[in-house]
Amino acid sequence: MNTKKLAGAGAAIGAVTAVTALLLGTTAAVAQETASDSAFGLSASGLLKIDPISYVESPDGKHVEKQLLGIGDVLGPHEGDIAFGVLTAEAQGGASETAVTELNLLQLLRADLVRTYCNDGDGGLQIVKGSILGHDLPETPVPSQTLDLSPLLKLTLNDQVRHEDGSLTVTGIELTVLPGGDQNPDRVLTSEERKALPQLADLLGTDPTAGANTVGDVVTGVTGKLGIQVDPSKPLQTITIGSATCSASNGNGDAKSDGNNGNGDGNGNGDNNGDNSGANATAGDTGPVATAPKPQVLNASLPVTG
Amino acid sequence: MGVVAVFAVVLGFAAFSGSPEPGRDPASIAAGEVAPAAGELPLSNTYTTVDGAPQDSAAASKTNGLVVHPIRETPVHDAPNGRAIARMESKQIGDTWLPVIAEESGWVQVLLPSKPNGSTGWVRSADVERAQTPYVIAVHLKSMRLELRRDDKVVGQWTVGIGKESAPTPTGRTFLLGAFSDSKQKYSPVILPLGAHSPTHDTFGGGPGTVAIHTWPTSDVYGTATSDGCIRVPPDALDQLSEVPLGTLVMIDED
Repeated sequence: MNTKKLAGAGAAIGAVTAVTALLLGTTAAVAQETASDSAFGLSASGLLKIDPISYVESPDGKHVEKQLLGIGDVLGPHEGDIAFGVLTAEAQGGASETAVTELNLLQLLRADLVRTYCNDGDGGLQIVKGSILGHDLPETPVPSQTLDLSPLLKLTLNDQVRHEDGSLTVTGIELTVLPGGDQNPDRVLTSEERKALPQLADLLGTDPTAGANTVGDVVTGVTGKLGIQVDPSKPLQTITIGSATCSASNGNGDAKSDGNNGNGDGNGNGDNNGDNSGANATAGDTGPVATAPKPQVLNASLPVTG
Repeated sequence: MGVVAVFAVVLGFAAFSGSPEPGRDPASIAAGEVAPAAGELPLSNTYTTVDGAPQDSAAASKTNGLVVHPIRETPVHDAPNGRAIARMESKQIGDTWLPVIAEESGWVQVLLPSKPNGSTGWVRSADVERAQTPYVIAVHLKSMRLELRRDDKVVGQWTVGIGKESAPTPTGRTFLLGAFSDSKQKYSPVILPLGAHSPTHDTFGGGPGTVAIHTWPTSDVYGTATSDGCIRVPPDALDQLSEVPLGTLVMIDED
């Protein structure tokens, strides 16, 4: 029997927030453009707003760590909506990491372990036995991998953002409900998307999508059911699992490539810089360069000058 | 617990969550609909203008074909270790590929897809994947000829249509920014937008005045200066050009 799972999650997440506020006191804001080494395990924005849970920050380089054990006990009847075993976050000078075990998000996204890490301006994501809607998730996704599961759910793995000072933020998993923005409401649903609709209906505890033919039908059905006005250009709900920010020792965030190539010295190419105004393609870098790929022709709408 | 009560919880959160964060949704920004919040760096893409971007100082020189793809969102600086002026995303119209015009230790200088024409910027080498394109596309406005060169040899040349006097095709060094099909624009099965913009149309047809290479339903336009800035090429030219890697230089001169 269907339950009001999304709404249930709202109550559950609300409970989480309240509990976390009690446990942690005021949650610190997440610094976006500083090199402060920091991490957190879970946050949400949109319809439901959750300040980062288990947020740690190391402004002075000293090791800090927080650990949160399972919170199923306080969720009562909503225990099945959002659950994890242990949530840890730690940070120190130039490094940060967060790990979430036995994750079960809305019965949609499951993983034995989600580990998001950042070290000296480099970082990544490790997922153990992860799946969403029955699809296995990659164990070590390349940066900024996006899985469009339907018009209604989008998953971004290992999103990475370099900041001005060379520090890096790695966002482990970002699950977006009704991603919005780039969806053409008139687009007819694909057969795969139709297959995903029952899961959405299950998530919402109703079937607002019955008979839906286009993306717009689904969005209207869902938002109508929730009884709210939704800005179609913004996601209805975003849930983040794991975020790690770390500084880079040289401010450039290129510790990894420096280690690999020695700045081109000794390969015979490194002394050509500046002898013409064009690029010295391979000077100072990592050996042979691959041939650039042929473009993929996408469906898009950009009015050009005709 | 009743359904009504549960929904009240949801709506309660909605009511107290305040106004949405402005300018944080990449899709909206990419569609040119949302301006960045105060103090936030603008994205560099075909919809945006980036202030303080160094101008291309060697617009008539070809490069050695190095192109780069940002593997993560990264800031664009006005010099190596200089001031950040914009942000570059790994995807724009498909994967972002930019031509490299200069290099210093740990940094590459690239042509930007944003306004004004001839904008360049520096990004960290650690944040890009490198590749090599053997192609250059040369467009000569006076003779209305387009040449496709591979490894410095001409592998295709065509008579093309260019911008009219009141809406000229801009000269200088730019690049293939993307390849897309647009069901709303019936004149060409594939459109190849460039990193350049019309010097006279700040907007055009609801877009930002992006100059593109595409074909045209009638052949009488080739060899004429009648477009609004775009380069109109015969269908067989479009077939070949659609195979050319993104980031490839497009060098437009007055010849």
